[in-house]
Amino acid sequence: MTQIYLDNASTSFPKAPGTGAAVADMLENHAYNVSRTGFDGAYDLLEEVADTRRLLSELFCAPSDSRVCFTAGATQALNQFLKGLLRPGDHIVVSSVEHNAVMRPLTSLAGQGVEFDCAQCASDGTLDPERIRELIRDNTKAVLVTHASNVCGTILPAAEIGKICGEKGIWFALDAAQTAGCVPIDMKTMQIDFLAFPGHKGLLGPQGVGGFVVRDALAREMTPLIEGGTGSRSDSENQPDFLPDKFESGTLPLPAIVGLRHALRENERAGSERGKTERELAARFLAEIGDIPGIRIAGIAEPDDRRRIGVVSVDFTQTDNGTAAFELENRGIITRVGLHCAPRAHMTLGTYPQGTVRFSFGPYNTEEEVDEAARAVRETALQSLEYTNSDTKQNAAE
Amino acid sequence: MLVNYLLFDSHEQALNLRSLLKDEGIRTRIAPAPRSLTRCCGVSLIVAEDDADSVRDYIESHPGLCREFEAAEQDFNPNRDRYC
Repeated sequence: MTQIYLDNASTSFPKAPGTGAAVADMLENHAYNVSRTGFDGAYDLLEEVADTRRLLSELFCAPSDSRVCFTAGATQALNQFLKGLLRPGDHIVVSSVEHNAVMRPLTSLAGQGVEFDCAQCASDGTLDPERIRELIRDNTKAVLVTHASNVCGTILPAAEIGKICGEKGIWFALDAAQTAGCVPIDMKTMQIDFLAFPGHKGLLGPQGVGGFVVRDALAREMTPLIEGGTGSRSDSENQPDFLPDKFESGTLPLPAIVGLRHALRENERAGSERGKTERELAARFLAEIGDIPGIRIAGIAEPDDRRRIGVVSVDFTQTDNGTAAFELENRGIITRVGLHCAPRAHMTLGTYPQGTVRFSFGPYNTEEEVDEAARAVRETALQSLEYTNSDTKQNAAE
Repeated sequence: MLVNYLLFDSHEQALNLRSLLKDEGIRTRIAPAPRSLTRCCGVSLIVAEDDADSVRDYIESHPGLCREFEAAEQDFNPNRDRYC
């Protein structure tokens, strides 16, 4: 049976063509260290690291005063922002559809005297930016929101929120875990001060690298989570205060960075050669499953609504969602079921605690695969309805 | 023999200036920073004497690209320092 991978919101698969080979080549032929060893091979590798930063900076339209710092992924980047910036007595506003990458560190910080409020999103995941403005107080230091829900795919109004933050003089951080590489992000026009991104989702790179782009003024206020050797200012036992070294202690995940660079170049090259975008595939899927009885779409159900990415969450109302996901897997459709590390988002969408079955499309999925997945959803839902009806009849007869 | 060295806070900074100078038509050579000039374990760019003035002008008009521009005596004598 052919498998159709629809869990690109967890990690993209397949990766950009040649990414694995680029990583293998680095490990086999030039797995040196950078900013330590001093010879041509190490300098060449460092050029690749610098080029990766440049490509990311261009992709996110980073202002000239901002810099790219590598981390193990978006979760570490978000932890760096929250724990590096907030102090007891500080207040931050987030949305009600945040991932636990935000909510867990924030809950931990709340135990140390940091205060937070969640701006309530509507039941389809949309957010009126005015809800953010209403929650800003004198001690509000920042607003941090996801660019798009990892549960239902609804895009939040980042540019409008950035404008509000600019007016209020507070920092604006954006979690681009689901949008980096899928949705245009312009740090300058969207007034983003801190952008967290993973390398292995929409950017189609390998797992193990992500990072953040931060404005210099904000970086000066943030303390690093990890301190140690950087290969710079080695005469001092104080952490360097300049970027990216301030936030990049220890050996970088160089194989992953080399893979990410390859993926970024491949994404740039492939561009229009690829078929439908993730969003277009999701729209096709929504159009095909819209009339199926026994399911409810969590989030924006209108296929043509552009306030969404290629993520669709389905609640099978007549059967356990875990059972439905298993049935789909038996038909070759790979999804992710449960709460997707975002319990508050599911509460917002009305799908807590049962969760949903999430279908997330990637740039290498095809329309045929979308149609096959929609057929599998229809058959699974109808099967659950038949079972429910026969069960009801049997109970009535008894 | 006096050799001109550009000194940096980080390796990436050195690569960046090397690239910028290359765009200006000035070739430099990357090398470990002499211990006599810096306690840091970083790298340096060696600048040919003929290019020293152009480099000095460039870094003065583009502040922040390097830490220092220094000259040091290169005391390695290939005729004397033979190890095998």
